[in-house]
Parts: sequence; C-alpha cells; structure tokens
Amino acid sequence: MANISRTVRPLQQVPAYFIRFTLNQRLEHALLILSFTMLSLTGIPQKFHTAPWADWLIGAMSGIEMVRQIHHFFAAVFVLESVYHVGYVAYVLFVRKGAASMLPGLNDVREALHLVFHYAGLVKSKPRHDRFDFRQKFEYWGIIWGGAMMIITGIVIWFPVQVTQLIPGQLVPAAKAAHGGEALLAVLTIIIWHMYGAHFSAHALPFDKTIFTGRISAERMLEEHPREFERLVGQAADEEYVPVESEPVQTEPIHDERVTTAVR
Amino acid sequence: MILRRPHALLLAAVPTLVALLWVATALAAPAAVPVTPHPLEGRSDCLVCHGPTGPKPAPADHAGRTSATCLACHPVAAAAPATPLPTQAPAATPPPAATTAPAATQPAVPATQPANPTPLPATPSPAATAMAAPAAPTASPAATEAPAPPVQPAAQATAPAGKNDTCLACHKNAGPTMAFADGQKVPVAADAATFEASVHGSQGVACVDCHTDISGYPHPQPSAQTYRDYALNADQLCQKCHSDNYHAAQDSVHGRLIASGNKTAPSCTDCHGAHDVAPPDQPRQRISRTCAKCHDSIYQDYAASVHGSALINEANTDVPVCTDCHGVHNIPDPRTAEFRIESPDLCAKCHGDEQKMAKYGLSSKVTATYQKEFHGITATIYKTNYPTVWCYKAVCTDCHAVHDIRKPSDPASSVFSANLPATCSKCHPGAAANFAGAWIGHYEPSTSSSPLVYYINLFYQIVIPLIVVSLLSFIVLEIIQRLRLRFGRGQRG
Repeated sequence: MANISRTVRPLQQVPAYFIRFTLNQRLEHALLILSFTMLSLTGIPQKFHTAPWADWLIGAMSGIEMVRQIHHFFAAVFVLESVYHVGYVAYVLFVRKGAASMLPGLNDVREALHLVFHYAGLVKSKPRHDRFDFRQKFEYWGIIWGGAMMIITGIVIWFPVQVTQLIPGQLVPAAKAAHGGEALLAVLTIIIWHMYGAHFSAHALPFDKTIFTGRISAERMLEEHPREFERLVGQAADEEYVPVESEPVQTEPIHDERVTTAVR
Repeated sequence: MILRRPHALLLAAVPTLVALLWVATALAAPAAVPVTPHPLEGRSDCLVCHGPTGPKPAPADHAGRTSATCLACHPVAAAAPATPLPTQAPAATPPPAATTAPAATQPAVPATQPANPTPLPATPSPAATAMAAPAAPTASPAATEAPAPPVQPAAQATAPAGKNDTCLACHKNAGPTMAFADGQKVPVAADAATFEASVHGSQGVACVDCHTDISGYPHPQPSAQTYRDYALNADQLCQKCHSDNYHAAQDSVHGRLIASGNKTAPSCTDCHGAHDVAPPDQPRQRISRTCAKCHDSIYQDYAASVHGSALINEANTDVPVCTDCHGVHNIPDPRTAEFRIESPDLCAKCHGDEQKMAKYGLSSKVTATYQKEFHGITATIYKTNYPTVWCYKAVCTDCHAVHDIRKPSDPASSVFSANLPATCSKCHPGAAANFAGAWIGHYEPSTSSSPLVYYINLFYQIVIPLIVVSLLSFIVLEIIQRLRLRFGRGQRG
C-alpha cells in the first residue's frame, strides 16, 4: 500500500489533488439527488399507502393530490436530466472523443470476484481499479436501466388514455406494477449500496465529498483507482510519491493531454 | 233520583272541590270547553236532563250522542285536569313498569274515564275507582318514580276494549272536518277497523295517546296554520315513544330539509302512515315502494337493476332495498363527499360477504382488489385522511351505476364489455377501446388473470430480496475484512 505522508525518498512528484468530476457532472449529480429524493419521498408512500408512516408522509406533504403533483414535477425534472445526460455523454464520447470509462467489461467481473476472494481471505492482493470500479459501474448502469424503466412505465401510467391509443390496455397495470417494483429496488439499492459506498466504506467515512467538490486526493487515487493513476501519471502505482502543491490534474471525462506533461 | 246523603260528606267535599277547582284552573285547562258544572253523584244518564226533551237540552249538533260520550268533552269541573299524558319523559326508557305505575297512567285517559272526586258506587271501572283516591292526581310524582312507561303496556293497562269509542262516536262519521287558517278543511274521520289493524291499534294504543292535544270539546284549534304544518308537527307525537328514531330522522337529509323550511320533505307519517301504521318491511318490497312515493324515477332505475328485479320478481331477501344502503331514519345526504367515499364499504357489506357471494357465484374480493388498484388506493387515502373532500377517483357506483346496477353480462350494463369505453370516458375523455383493458378487474393477478402483472410482481418479489441480500453480504464481507485488518495489525504491532 502506497503511503504518501511517510515517504522518505521522493521518487516522483504528483499533484496533491486530481479533478475527478467536472462541474457539469457535479451539477448533474446534485440534480439527480434532488429528483431521486423527491420522487422517492412522494412515490414510496404511494406504494405503501396503508402503512402509518406513509400516511403521515402524505399528510405532511399536504395530501395525496399534492404528493402526486410533486411526483410529476420531479418526474419531469428527472426526464429532462436523463435526456441531458444522454446528450452530454454522446457529446463527450463522439465529439470530444473522450474515454468510455463507464463501459462494463469482463475485467469488472474479474475485479468483483477478485475482491470477494480477497475478502474471503483466499487472495491476498486487492483488485486494482481503473477510473470506475465495478461497484460504481453497477450503480451507474443500475440507474441507467432503472431510470429508463421508471421513465417508460411512468409515462404509461401518467398518460394512460394517450398511450392506450397505441398499446394494449393490459400494459398499463403492468407498467404500474413494474414502476412500483423498480422503484423499491432502486430505493433499496441506493440506501444500501450507495449510502454505504459514499458514507461508510473505508475511504469514505463519514462522507465522500468528491462528487460535490470534484476533487480527489492523490492518496485516494492511488488507493482506489491505481490503474487510472498510472495512466495519468505514467508511473506504477506501487512506487512512493510526494504530493506537491500544483494545479490539480483534470482526469476524465474530457481527457486533458496536459496531465502527463504537468506531472513530469 | 235524589238520594239523601249524610251532611258531613257534603261539608268535606266543598273545600276539596274548591281546592281542586283552583288546581284545575292553575293547570290552565282551555276555557273554551264547557265543563260539567255539577257533580255526578247519583246521576247516571245525562240525557235525562240534556236530551232533546230535557230541561237543559244539548245543542242540536249533539244529536245522536249517548250518555257515555258526554264526559269525553265535558269533564266534571273539579277533576278535569287538562294535563295530557303524563308520559312526557323520554320514551326511550327500557322495561316498562306498567304494573307498578298504574297511577301515573291513569290521567292518560281523561276522556275515556270520567274523573270523579267522589267515587260512584255504580261506576264499573276499577280504574276510575283507583284514580279517585288522590285528590288531584298529577302526573309528576308517579312519573318520576316510574320511568315513563311506553304507551303499549300503559294503554293496555288502562284502556280496555272500547277505549276509543268516545272519539269514534264523532270521528267514525265522514262529515266532520278540521279547518285551518288557510281555509283548508280536512276530514277528521278515522276508520276504526284500519286503526285496530295497525301496529298501534292492535297493541291497544288509544287515540288520545297520540292526540294528546285533544282535551275537551270543542277541540282546541290546532296551532298549525296549514294541514301540512299539522302533519309535520305530528312528528312530535311520535317522538313521545319513538325518541331514537325521531332524533335520527331529525338529523337525516329529510329532517334537515324540513328544518330548512322545505315542507315537502317527509315527516314520520309520510312514510309510516298515520292511523294505518304497519310494519314497514312486511313484505320487504314495501320498503322501497315507500321511498318510491317521492323518489319514483330512482325506484324505476332500481326496479330494473339486478338488485331491484331480484327483490320484486323473485322476492329475494339477499338483495339490498333502499334502506340497506341509505339508512333507515338517519338517512344521510347521498350527494356528499363523505357518502361517496364511504360508498365502497356499503357495497362491501354484501359483496365482501363470502357466504352470500358464494350463493351467486360472485367473488367476495371485489372491494379488496379495488382497494389495491389505483382508484381504490386513492379512495382509501381520501377516506382515511380527508373524508370531507370530494374524491374524483372512481368509486363502485361510477362504473357500475348508482341505482341501475346490472350484471356485467347484461348488454344494458355500464360495465358490459362493449360499454366500457363509454363508461371510462366519463372520467377519461378520449379513452380508446384499448383503455378499458387497463382495468385489471376485481381479481387478484394470477397466471390466468392479468398474467403480465402477476409475473412482473413475481419478478420483483424474487429480484429485490436477491439483490438486497447480495449487496448486504458484500458489505458484511468488507466490514469483516476491515475489522480483520485492524485486529490483525494490532496483533502484529
């Protein structure tokens, strides 16, 4: 494990911070937090409307009609954000020729198994992640899949009269069932997985600020994204490094050619 | 005719009579009734003097009346308290104590038994003898001792056969009328046979038990200005014994209409009748016919419905009549948000009854499944949280019709398959034929009914726990690893 502070012999100078997320990504995340939270707060009580807590929540939000209006409003926010995100990703990938770092691959399966074996004590080494580890990819694609599901089924149950001009009526209750099921899955995943990853995991305790500040320390880059670090710095991550006060290094999605030069 | 009596008795009677006269005046008997100014001692036949040929003949319009009826209108001055029935206390009191409180009920029949301060040996009625004992029997002491006995036993105890003869002496004739301020003259004839056959007559209730305001002749002019007012006021008479129902009716949509000045709204007698009161549910069809007297177009709808036709044509006792859904005396306004939001529960009273539904091969889960469906979820939330706010989501009657509820297989039914788009369009304008398919019916999703919904639910029932358990296991593994690292390090250190 590389340790920067106890470095005796400065081999390589790296910036103390890397810019992990652009302002655009941070704002998108903030918008996602807002819409997801509000959609959950107004949606889950509708699914569990017979429970006292749901009853209380609905009452606290001025009643079921208001709850549904809030839900529809943030549904619209979520749809717009989703459309924007798809456009943004397309721009980064195809216009700016950025790296498709979120694409899952066999390597992610290997990393996942590696980590499980490591936790089980069968393998001593830890998997060495690139820019996004398999957990983050799982979450991202979970949101992509879940979001698509929620948008499609949501539109069906929001505009049943219009959509049944085109599709069989039976798909409306089916969409409602899927909307509720997928919502519960999404909320549970976020509560269990995302909250753990962002607040309770070893590096994050008590709160991983990277998605809000955009900055990640060189130490954490070494620990959590060693392969990205190597790509950026051009040196093996198991060397020892000294952080220096310098311009933070911009990582992806818009790869900056200055990275390697700035570091050297 | 004139008997010699001991002087002492007269001496004792004079102050008693004076006292009684004073009491009677204090009790404010309507002065318009000419009382019998002399005691009845030794007199047994009024017509000896007051017949057409007697020294003091009665007015010509009294022709034909017998001695037995005189005292009905002309009580003896000293002992004719104008107090009507003493049973003014709430009539809702439980077990009647008729046998223990005869005294209380005696004055209830001032018209049928001559009140006499000095007992006549010749008087055949034991009741009269009994009541003569207290100088001025007022209702209060006995009435407070013995909780107001309902009319029936009281009347039985005090009103032997022929108790209404006095009244019927005049009222059996078709001629007499009652004149109201607005000029309307209403016949006051009462058919004895009809009354005797009614629930009241057959239980021995006397005319004066209800007509408590009649206390002498000529009868006091009714305070009501019109006959309709008189009929509405008659509710007060029913209240004496049927307090609960009276008060429930006061709170009903009908009672409120009357209170707000709508005099066409029904009072007790409009539904129950007056002298011909009969059990309202015998036969059961009678109930809905009673409502039909005013609500005829609704009755026609109902009669054509699956419920009404079964009642009328098959005498089916399982189907609801008007009162099963609308209540009996406390009939709420069915146009309110509250009534609307409670209405699924009304339907569920029968349609949630497994035994009853099994008889007809119907599902008893229609309400339960409705409550899991979008409209029902919303309606349930409204019912729990804001029952007074109008819920625009469909309740049973929005699709199945209100009174004209028919079998879904009936082509005239609003839920007959071909009629569904039109029914849905009532709330969902522009609904295409496909839209009705969105209604997954009153059946739980299963492999045969709404299989798509069934499999989607099944999918999430499996996938959600699976994913949750996987994620939690992963987290637990990581936490164990962290603890082991820390623990291991400490050992090494």
